[in-house]
Amino acid sequence: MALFEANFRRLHRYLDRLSGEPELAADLAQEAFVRLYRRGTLPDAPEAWLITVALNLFRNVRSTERRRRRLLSVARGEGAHWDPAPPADQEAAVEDSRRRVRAAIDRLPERERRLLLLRAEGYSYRDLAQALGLNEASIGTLLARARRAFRTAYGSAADAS
Amino acid sequence: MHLDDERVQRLLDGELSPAAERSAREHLVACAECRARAAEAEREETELAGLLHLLDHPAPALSAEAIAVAARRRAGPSVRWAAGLLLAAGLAGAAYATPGSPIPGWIARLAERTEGRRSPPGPAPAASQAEDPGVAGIAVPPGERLLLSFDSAQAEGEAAVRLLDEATEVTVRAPAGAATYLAGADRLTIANGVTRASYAIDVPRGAPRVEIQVAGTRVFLKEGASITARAGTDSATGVYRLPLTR
Repeated sequence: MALFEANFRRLHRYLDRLSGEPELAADLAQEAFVRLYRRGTLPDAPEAWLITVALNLFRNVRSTERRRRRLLSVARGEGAHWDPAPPADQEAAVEDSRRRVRAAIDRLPERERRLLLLRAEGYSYRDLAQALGLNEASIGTLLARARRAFRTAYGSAADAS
Repeated sequence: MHLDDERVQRLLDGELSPAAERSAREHLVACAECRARAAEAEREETELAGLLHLLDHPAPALSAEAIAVAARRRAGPSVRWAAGLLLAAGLAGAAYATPGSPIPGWIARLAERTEGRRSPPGPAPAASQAEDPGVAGIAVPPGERLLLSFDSAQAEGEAAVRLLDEATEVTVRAPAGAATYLAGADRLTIANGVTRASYAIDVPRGAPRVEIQVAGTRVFLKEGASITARAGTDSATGVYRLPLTR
């Protein structure tokens, strides 16, 4: 399943960044792939299909009560994007930056947030347009706008902290 | 005419046709204003990518095979699988709406959260090992009734069950990678496959009804204060040691 190898990690990371809940992100990414597998045939645009399914699941989860189960441990994957813990004297600064990024992302309108985070995972404009129901011809404009909105929100978060 | 946002962004993202990209680059050579805008956009992109990494957590080490196994289990005709799995009905499906369901908000989980290795068979992990990355598990509220179902008998291994006064959730722990957990209404299915792992299960003493089955056979039942177990209690530790073999 080359599709899995190529897409699981980035779908998980996208959902993690979107939700701020790594366990939920793992659930949703896994479930999207289970559904793809059960579908039996590949959709025309599998990447966009996976995003759409995962986002629908995310929407459903968010619209129901908070989940009550918790995992006892989450082993670390082999994700190269997981940086080692910084030295103690940098931890506060890193945590502050993380909080600001989170606040800035959360402050973006939903469309901009999704666009920005999906593009950060390298999804094509075609996939973005299909998954989010947008006109492919204007994806670049929307991305530029979203990036500026993030910059402004991040600056505001810096001023507030 | 200057490059608009669309073309600058597409240039950065490699989304222009070869001809359009050539044209855009030629324009940048001649236009300092657009060159500055493109450079600024590129700098912001780089900064954004770095900042977003601050939000990341490790991805679960999940294999395509684990997905396939989970999908096949879910897709089977067996009624026992179809009954309680939330995701079979969609996240907003029937199980959410079941009145009194003890676990309405659950998502079926494929807990293949391993480090890419399987722990060797051994004694059941102690509770203190819960945060050990080599030990994975799941905690569930017992509700009015809960069935823990090991879907296979094993060649070796046991489930060590403790009743705890202070516990509020049923917890199941095993070496990371030993099992996949699927949570449904009133049921936690432990897809243990051919592993030889042992499990540590903690049950709140106040749980009304907790049953454990291995391959469809009941090996433990707690109803109120009454306990029926396939194996006796280790009097020294108060642990019910239930073989997972046939």
